Amino acid sequence: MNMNGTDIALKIENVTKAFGSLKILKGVNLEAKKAETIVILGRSGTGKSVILKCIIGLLTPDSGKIIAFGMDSHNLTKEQRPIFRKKIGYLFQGGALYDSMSIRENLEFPLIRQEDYQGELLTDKVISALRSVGLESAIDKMPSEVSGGMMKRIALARTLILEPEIILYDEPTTGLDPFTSKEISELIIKLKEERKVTSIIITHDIPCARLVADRVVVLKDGIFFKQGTFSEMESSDDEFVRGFFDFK
Amino acid sequence: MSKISNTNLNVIVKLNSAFNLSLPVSVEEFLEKTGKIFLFAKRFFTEAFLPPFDFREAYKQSFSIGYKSLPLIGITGFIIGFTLTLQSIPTLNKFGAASLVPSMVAVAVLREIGPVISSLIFAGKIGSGIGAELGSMRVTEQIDAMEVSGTRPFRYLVVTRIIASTFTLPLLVIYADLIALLGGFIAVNISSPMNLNLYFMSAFSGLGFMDVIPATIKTYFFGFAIGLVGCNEGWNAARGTESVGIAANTAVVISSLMVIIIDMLAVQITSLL
Repeated sequence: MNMNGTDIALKIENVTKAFGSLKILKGVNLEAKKAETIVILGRSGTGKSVILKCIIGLLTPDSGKIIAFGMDSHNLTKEQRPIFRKKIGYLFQGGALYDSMSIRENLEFPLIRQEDYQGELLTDKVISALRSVGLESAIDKMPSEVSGGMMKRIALARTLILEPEIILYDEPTTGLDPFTSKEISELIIKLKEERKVTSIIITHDIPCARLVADRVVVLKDGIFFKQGTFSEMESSDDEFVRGFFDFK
Repeated sequence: MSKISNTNLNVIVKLNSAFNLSLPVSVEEFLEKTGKIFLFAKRFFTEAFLPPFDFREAYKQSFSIGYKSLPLIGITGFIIGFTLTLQSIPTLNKFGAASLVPSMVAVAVLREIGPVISSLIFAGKIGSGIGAELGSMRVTEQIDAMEVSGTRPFRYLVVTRIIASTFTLPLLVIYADLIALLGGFIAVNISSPMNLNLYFMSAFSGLGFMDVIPATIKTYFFGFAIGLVGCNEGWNAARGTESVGIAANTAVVISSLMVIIIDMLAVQITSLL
């Protein structure tokens, strides 16, 4: 995607969002380059997930613009909406697998309804997506039969199956042990390298951020108030920013 | 906006707290809730007639809602017919009208008791089930996940369930009515032996189209109301696990109330014909 002659995949311009009298976002600006991985840090309840939900269209910003693929996410035509949704994937914090469907049906669901895949082609696509997260053996299990880490990886496979160009991760490693957390981080890196996917990740998992981030942005008081590379942020003079990295 | 009188308000607040409900506690909230249900119904009609249609899911839901309710509805129907007959025999005997028992039971069951009791049982089982299922999907972000993958969850989850509920309840009521008549036959035979053919001939001799057709038509409205309320409560459930229970309980209470209100209106309309 080439936006205004640059290699920008996603542009957030002065986005604000309030819930009643509570102003959560007070003018968020961000540009994500193609194949860039941006990690958003911020205290709990400060609106990190709200930003992702505004990007994907689950929430509507009160003002501002979110532009991707030459489309403003909140002024989409009926024809543009499915194209936009297909190009942006979202990995939910809890995985959000459909618990009444098997893993196979979970992955088939978006393909059948969005792409009209059938028969062998459908099965091949599902197996290939599961293989990319190392879980093809779980294809006929129910979500209740797999562990939390496996659930996250399967949810990632479901996100990948529509081959999105941008993936939004809402705390992808929360609640996982360090080994599974590292596996998920490595998957994110693999996606970037192999598919040139742009990623925006909300996490409190600093080892994960260290592994995956090209850029770290810090959300405070409804705006992105600092940004830089991981090492720049880690050695920041700002006490608030350092608070995310200092565990002593 | 004016509030309901304080006594009524306190009763509703206590009910909400005791039974885990979200019933409106002010006139303003009542109007808001009613408006939301109407908007939900409008969205249903808008999306139900637009292709592509989810026939497979509607069929699956019909099986799940209808077929799996057969035992419960059957037992209820049998008990209704059996007890109603046993209760009626002594009274009709006093007037020397014991021969009218089959037709009296048939009229009572087919016109009123069968449809209403079956629908209330259906509201308890299916209304709460739909409310809890969709509420749980809302809480665990499964509906959001469908939304972001562009799969139109309203059509897939809501339209199919309301259609299934609307079209399976009348079939279940017919089934319950037949079982109730069978229950009546067994009850009649406890006091004095009666031939099955004679029982059914006697039962149907007292029935006219006006007993059967309006009673069947109203069950479509019952089914629609139960599906609509269950889906509305689940779809609009708040975040948090507690809201799943609230959605299920409120769905049962409101849909049961709607069954009774629709029945009252149906009886009034039928009496004008």
